[in-house]
Amino acid sequence: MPWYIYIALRHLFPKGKRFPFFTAMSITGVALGVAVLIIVPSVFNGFQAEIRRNLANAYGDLRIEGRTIIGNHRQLTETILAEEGIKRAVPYAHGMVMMQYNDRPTFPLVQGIDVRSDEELATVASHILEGDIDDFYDDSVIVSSGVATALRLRVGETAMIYNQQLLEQLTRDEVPLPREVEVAAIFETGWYEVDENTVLCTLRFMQELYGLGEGVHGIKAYVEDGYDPDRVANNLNGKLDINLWASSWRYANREMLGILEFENRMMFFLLFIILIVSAFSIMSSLLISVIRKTREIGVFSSMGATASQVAACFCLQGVAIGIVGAAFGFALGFSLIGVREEITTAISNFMGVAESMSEFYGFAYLPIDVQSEDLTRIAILAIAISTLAGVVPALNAARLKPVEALRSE
Amino acid sequence: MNSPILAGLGLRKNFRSGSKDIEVLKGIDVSLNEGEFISIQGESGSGKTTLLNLLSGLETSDGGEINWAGENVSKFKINSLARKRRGFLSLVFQSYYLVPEIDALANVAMGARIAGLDLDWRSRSKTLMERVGLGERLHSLPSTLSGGERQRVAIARAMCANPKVILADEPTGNLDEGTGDAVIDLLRSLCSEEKIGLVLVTHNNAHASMADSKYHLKDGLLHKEA
Repeated sequence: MPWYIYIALRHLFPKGKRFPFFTAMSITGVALGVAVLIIVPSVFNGFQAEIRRNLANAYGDLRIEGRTIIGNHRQLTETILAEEGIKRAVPYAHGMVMMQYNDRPTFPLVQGIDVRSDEELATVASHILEGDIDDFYDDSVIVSSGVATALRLRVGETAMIYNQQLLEQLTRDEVPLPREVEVAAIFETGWYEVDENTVLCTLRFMQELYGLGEGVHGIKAYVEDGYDPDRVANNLNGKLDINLWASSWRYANREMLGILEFENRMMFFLLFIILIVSAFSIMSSLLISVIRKTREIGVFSSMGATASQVAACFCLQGVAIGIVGAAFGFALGFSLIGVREEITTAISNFMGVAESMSEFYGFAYLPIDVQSEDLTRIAILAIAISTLAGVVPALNAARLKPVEALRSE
Repeated sequence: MNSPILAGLGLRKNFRSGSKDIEVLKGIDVSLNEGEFISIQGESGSGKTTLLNLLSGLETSDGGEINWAGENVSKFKINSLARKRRGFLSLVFQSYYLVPEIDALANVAMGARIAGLDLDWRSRSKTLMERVGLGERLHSLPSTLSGGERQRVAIARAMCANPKVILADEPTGNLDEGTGDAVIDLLRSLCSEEKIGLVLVTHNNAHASMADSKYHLKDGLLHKEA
């Protein structure tokens, strides 16, 4: 090992029982910066991934909609299924109704589901809290946990549904009769927006409620793994009637996704400042070290050390602090990620904010998504900044004239 | 007659003090043959350390010429001089200047490692530690050694670079008389065994008298004493 690497390591990690205070402080600075850079973006990525997944689940990969109600949805479904990359397409109808139980009203969003689609039923079945998907038929509904709570509804009980057609009947002085529906099941997805105010019914029931006849509001399509929904939507748009259009969940939610992406970039930039701060702490530690070691530098020069070797000795200390600090930062970051639930529970209990988390973000747990490219970027940044922090002290050391170094007090 | 291994010819050095130039060295001629031992004495501030710095190339002169093994190195740049010093010239200081973070053996080895000598510096530094009587203290940190032991480690470090010349600047200045005598005895005997030229700057008459040639620096001029 060249002498300047050996001395650099010994300056940082001296032999004996002496605690390397400056080294410990510098490494701690980098480690904390790296840990924060790992934890915060991973949590943000986790939130974003969860939001994306919820958006995609609710929207489907693609939706094909028209200017008016789509009447020939079976033929259209066949056309869509013929497109490369599409594995499933199901018609849907949706809208808002008034639901009433024991004089308590609520205004949920109603989704009409094609019960001929096993996948649609399986998706619903996977979120059922109470009741059975087998009891789901044309005069029954599956309500979200929020609706069940608001109306004090239980499985097997009957509620009334009022739709817009009844209002039209009122204007014609006719007596509107609401539809009676039995609650077949109660579901919860974990996504607040859906769980708060959704009712599922069969597509046929929805068609009756809204007077759609055989028509639907649109067709949801799902793409095969590896296919880009945006590209498939573009291809499909080239083949659809001019009054129909396909849009991916990403396109439909582009503003929300754009905000999330912008937030992510800004957050990384702001957290990057932490690393800059730790770089200054490294630089000041190494500058102090150069001052403390001035005579030692003079002795090395008198023994034949060149300016570049002296510079390397101090610059390498910055590199070593960066590498060790990044390693500790990774260990600390992943350890804290491992106990994130315990930490968030403790914080939520202390501040009483558990409810607001599910209200604002749609889920009560702390999702995490650690991306390997982020980790690579963080490691490179930490080591590069620490190295740069070592350059100024190294140049100071290299500029010292041997005789002046030896004379220094 | 052999040419000297180290020579200073007409060396001059001025220092600026305020608006005034002070001429510390006024044209000094000095030479050292292979294996020769010379001592330099003088009042504090007479320019002894400055003379050693000029001879070792750590400081540039304002006039005159310095020859190392017959080569004029007066115009060499700092880095070239540093390379040239490797395996040719070592220094021993009054304050030892050991690296506190590494043990005695590693300090000794630094001499050979920095010089980049193509030799087994591990075994050479161990041998030298034994020769300076510290075979039992190989892995002691400098902070646990006495002043005399530290200076012996510094001498072993200077020797480890396999030099032709050692310049010692008041190496006993921080030591008591008995320890100082032992250190000078050791330095003199090691240089004699390895045919290393030794320039000793000292205030101690007894140590100076051990030299083959004895010089006195006064008023910027070097006088050889009988």
